[in-house]
Amino acid sequence: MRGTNSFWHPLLHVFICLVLSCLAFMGSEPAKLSILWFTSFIYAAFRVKGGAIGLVKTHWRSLPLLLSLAFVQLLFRRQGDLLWQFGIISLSREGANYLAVLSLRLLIVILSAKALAVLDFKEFSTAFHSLRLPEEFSFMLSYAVHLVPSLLSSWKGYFQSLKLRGIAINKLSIPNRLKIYKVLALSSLAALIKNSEGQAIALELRGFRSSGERSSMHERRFRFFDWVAIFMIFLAAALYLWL
Amino acid sequence: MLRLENLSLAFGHRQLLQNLSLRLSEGELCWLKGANGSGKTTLLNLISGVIPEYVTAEFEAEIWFGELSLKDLPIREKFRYLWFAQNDPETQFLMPSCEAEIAFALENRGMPAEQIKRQVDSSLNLFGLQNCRWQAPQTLSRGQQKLLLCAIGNALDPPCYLLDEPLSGLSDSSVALVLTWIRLQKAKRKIFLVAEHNDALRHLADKELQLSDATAFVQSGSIHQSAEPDSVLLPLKARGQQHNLDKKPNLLVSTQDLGFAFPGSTQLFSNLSFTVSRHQNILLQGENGSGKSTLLKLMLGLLKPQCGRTAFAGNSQSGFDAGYFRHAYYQPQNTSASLLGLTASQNWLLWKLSLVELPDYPSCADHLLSELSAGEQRLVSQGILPYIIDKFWMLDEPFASLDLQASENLKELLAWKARQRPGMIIVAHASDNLEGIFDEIWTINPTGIEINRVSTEAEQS
Repeated sequence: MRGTNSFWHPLLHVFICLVLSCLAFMGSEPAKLSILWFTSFIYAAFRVKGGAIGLVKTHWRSLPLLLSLAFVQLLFRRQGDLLWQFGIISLSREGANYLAVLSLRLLIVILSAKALAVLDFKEFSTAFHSLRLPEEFSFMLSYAVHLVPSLLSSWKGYFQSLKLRGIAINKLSIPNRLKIYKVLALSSLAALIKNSEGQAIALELRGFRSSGERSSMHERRFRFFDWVAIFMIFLAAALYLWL
Repeated sequence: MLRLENLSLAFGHRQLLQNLSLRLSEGELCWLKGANGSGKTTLLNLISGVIPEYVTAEFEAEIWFGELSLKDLPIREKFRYLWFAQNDPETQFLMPSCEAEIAFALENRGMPAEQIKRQVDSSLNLFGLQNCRWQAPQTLSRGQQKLLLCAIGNALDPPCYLLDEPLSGLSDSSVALVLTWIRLQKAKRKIFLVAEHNDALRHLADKELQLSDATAFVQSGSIHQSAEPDSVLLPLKARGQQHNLDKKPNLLVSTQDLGFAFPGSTQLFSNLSFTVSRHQNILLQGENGSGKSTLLKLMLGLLKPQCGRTAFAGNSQSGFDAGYFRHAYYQPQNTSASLLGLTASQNWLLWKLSLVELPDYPSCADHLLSELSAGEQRLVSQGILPYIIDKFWMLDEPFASLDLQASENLKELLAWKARQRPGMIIVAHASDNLEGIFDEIWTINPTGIEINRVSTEAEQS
């Protein structure tokens, strides 16, 4: 079947992302989390547009967040052996450990979210239909997963519109920048509400949530391979927790 | 039969529709006419149930389809009786492919898979979208998106169609396609209620409903008329703000061996080489999906070509730069992309950051942009044009959704600029009647761009 881009059932992808992000919070050893991060990276690289290079860019963009986490650890966590000290700034073993754990957890969640966001509404619908969950659930989850990417894209659009008017935001004075950010923040919030409303209208005009039995043009059932994959994932997750 | 009886509607103190009654028998088409903001879309929203389920308004209405009261039926059940193709296709597509988009409504009806497939195939073929079957609807051109909305309606095959500006932004051949489809559906005794500015609908209309212009929010063309080009230029000259065109390089855009294709789609352009001079007036034409908007974006660096080079104002291009505004102004086809802020005055305020010499917002009343109709939004976005008359204009489908008066005003402005401050490339269709404005007509076809020079009256004599 064309249109959906995966050999596997969409529910399997939802399941993988769920397992990866759950395991990230169940483990607290940097070595184990590193293995999990690597697994997430490989999985996401196969799923997202742009592959591994795109993910490296995502990591690069997350760097300021990770560095600010590191800074907090440097300043406030003093337990354990002292690894390095300069004046009031010190780095303890526990601080470093905690920094690694937090950073890896964050990256695993980001990678899982990116892999999940590849699924479109149709795939979410197929995934949850096989669990007999209502369509509203698919729509809500699909909307929530795509919320951040769509917000980012609307901001990108706003900055492009500003550029089309000859406004380079980094060359403006601070008060003018603040003026623009205020206007754009409110606009993006309003656009978000309007878009979600527009999408809901568009769906309902085509009978979304209507009474009666639905059919499917391309019925996708859980196949033997999907069950095998689920079993393997369970096994790998159990092994990860047991080790 | 579709019956509307004693229909009145108001948004707060603004009475939009009053005591409106209409009867449409099977096979009849009612052409909804009126200026931008006169309430055409509102009427369609009311019949479809968008009002009051999603938009709050005070209204009284009796809406009957045969013996069934549509007023009491939730939107999600109305798809069995009517199809409403809204004006803005942007927010109406959620599926990963055109096929899935058409199939969605049929799946909700519980139609067997084989029948869905047949309906999808015939609808895609009917509207010439068979090559776009697996393409994401969001990546289609606006004209193709409009055709896709008609294709969904065709597949759904309800007894009544509500179409909001189905011909806007369509090429002449696509307009003919949609009109033929409407004619066929009318022969099948389908009811149509169509809001449209395009006169081509005249031959198919059995009834015309002229909505009052008096309630229009932004009076047609008021922004253009309030700023006569000369009166705008004089104060700019006095302040020394006017750019001296002669000091700028004459060559604005040059491309060499340009090649471009959207991911997963066929090649749109290959080995395309051309130049655009600063004082040229160009009309860019082509079929829907031929790449008109893409070409403008490539010229500006908003899209990156797969191969070849582009230079803008003498500089080799590596992406769009805010500095290009010194030379040219680009207005995209999607109006919301050229409006910023929540209100018309906020939009103007953000313009003042780059054009400090702009006067205060010219309209006496401010409006929420989301409350304006598509045509009114376009009027607001085009309100800046007289103030940047010296720049090279790159306008993508500027006539879409404009009523007749506003279209005439815009044509006048373009004609004035073509004579006094030449320099523009306008994407429009032949049906927009733009004779005498342009020096060259560029037509995009599968083999490249065909350039036809338009001889002026002086050259002819």
